[in-house]
Amino acid sequence: MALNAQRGETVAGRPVTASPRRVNLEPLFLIAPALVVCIGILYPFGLAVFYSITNYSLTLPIIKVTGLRNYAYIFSNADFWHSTAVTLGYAVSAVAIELVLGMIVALLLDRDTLLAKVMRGLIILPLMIAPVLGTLMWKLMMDPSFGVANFLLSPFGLRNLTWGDSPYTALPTAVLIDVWIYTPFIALLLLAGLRSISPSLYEAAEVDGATPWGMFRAVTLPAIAPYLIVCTLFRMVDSLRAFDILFALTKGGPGNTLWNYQVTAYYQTITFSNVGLGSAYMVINWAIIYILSQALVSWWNGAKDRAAA
Amino acid sequence: MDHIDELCASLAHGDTSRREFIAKASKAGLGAALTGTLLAMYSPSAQARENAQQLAANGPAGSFDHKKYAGRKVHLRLSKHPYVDALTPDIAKFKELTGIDVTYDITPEEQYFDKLKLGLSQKSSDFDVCMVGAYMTWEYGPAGWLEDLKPFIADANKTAPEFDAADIYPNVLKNDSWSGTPGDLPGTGDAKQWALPWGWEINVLTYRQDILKKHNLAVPRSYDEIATVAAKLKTLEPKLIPFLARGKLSWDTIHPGYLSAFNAYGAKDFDKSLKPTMNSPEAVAFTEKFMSILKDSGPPAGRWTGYGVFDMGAAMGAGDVVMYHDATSLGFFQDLPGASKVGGQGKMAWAPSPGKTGTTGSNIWVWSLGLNSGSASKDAAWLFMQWASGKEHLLYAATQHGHVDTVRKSVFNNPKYQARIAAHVGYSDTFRKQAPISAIYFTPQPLFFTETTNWAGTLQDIYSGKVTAKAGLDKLASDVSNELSQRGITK
Repeated sequence: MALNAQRGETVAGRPVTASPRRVNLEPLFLIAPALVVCIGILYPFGLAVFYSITNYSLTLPIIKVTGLRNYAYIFSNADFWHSTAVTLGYAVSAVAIELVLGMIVALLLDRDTLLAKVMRGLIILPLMIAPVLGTLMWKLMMDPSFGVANFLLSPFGLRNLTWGDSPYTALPTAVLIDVWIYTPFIALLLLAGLRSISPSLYEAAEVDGATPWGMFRAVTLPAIAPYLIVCTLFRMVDSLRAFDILFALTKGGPGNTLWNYQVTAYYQTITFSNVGLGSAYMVINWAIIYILSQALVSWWNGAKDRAAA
Repeated sequence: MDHIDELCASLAHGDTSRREFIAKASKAGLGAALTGTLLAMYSPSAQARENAQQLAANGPAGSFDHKKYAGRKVHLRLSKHPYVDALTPDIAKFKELTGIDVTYDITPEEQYFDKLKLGLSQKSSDFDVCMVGAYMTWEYGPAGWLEDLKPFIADANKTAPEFDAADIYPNVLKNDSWSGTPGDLPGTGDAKQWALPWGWEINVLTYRQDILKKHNLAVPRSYDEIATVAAKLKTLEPKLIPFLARGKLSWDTIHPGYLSAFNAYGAKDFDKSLKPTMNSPEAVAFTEKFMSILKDSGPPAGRWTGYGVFDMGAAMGAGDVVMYHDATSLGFFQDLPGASKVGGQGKMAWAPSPGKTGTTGSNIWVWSLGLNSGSASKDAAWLFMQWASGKEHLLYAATQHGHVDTVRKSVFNNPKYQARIAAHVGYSDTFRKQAPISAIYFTPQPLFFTETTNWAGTLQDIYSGKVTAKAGLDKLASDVSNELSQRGITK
């Protein structure tokens, strides 16, 4: 087209008057949104990585690059290993329970009964509440003076459960709230997986004389494996960077019981003004999530291929 | 001229206040010196005439003009608080007096300091004046986030003649000033005035007098007596919490009753060389005593760590608690008629801060107004600050609203205010006794929040039995020492 214009030719009967220096901007316009998104995502991330190798404190006017000093301090500090245990303990236990419960709920909802139809609509209710509000609601239910939880548990001799107030029960309490909020999410995804399984596979298994457990192991589980991995991926990433439930429950207490990476990063950055150290915690958290996500994605690809075969 | 005559007559008869007189005289174009002279001649009281004579003699004070910044705008960053509820309806008076427009944002207290800190540290010009606590100024002031107010106070062109700094409780004003040298006590050395006191809280014993009377129990004056009375109450009133204190994982768990009594039992947070001493034998002994009371006679089933300041107020209001050692005003709002289950019935009462052997001073919390160094309207903002902490607004706020525990002696001694607080048993007497002998007992240093948040976590661990008081406080002292050293504050 540019050559035509230089020769003074016409296109579709119209004279072409474009300048010889005309630049084709179309690709730039097409790539611009992706570029903006990339910059939007990468800039804060890059900034956090930079801060993590500095002594940046909110109260210090001059930022000095200190290399890996923050990381060395973190890895040599017992508090880091505690927060690692909290981060992994919370994520693994919450996701494991949610997967088992989600599977059971999905199997129950995959029936043609009136109750299953009604429950399919109701089960999403916890997902519609912000996690912080859900946590506050649970705190009210677990209140020692007027909460309903201990009242309901009193017939079982559990009238004085301390829930989030004790270092021994705070983490299980946080996991319980996480499970309450996110199990429906897993159940719905798995339900979609169950609905995608061809009935002919069950019919063939039945003809072969398979038991219900055998059908579950040989047909259901392999078929929904990619869905299970996707659920694990989503929930594991979310749980590894959890903040809202842990902070809303006890602000991370008692003591530092619920200080996972994110809560520790919050205290270091905001309360203690130590942005450099807080950023290092966030970068470590990101690295763990990244490695785990990559592993889960390659596992998912394998499972998808096996399910399709 | 007739107008001026009328104005003077009105002042002499007490129909016009000094402030109104100054404003109207300024409007009429009277010079400052003449205004001061007229005040000296026509003020109704001898003291006011004397003040005005000084004002006239000092000359430059008269050059102050309320309308100098008319048309400017000042934005306030505020925390949700009864003081703010008293301020907002009165702002129109300031606007009328100065012609300055005032806007504000209000954030719940639990989130307020995070928001404020981020704004100040980014040198945001979104706000000009903010609410701060004296402890916060130890971090915010030396970091250059707040303006030193001393030059403003000293400048007669910027400070209204009616602003009377001597009327503010001197220990409160002093506690808002600090040199910036870690370990220096407030008000010592080359101290800068980082904020202006607005309201303060003395930590005293708030208790249910009806219950103590019912069982013929004396009001405890020490923590040993609290332990005895609380143990008896546990049997006598099994449905009530005999004694309560703040227990959440937050810096504010340390400063009220715990630190007040900690100090009374001879313990300190640091020594003069800024070496942490919160693990001294006195500190360990008192902490063991404090924890033992909370475990034996505190909230049931290990619940103490769930109680923050508002939970405690609510528990007292609901009639669930017999005693707590905390801010004077916390119970005041519950004691108002209709405000709570026990309010307005003379059931609650106040007594001085329990110490080791009897009445002792208490640690104080000072709600103050700070001037953002990123502000583009500092002079107009200063005008607002002096008005908001001035006699007229504080008297209105204390008598018409909930701005109790006033920082101004004149407001406290005002008959209207005394009449207002008379219904709250022991409130006035307790305040009168405690005010002169109370102060901040923390040692100022910029890692205040690191120290106190970790301290609260340590108390939670001691309470739950994870560590002993000695082991917990030893680790805390060691951690704080390392942190101070790592940040280059100590060697």
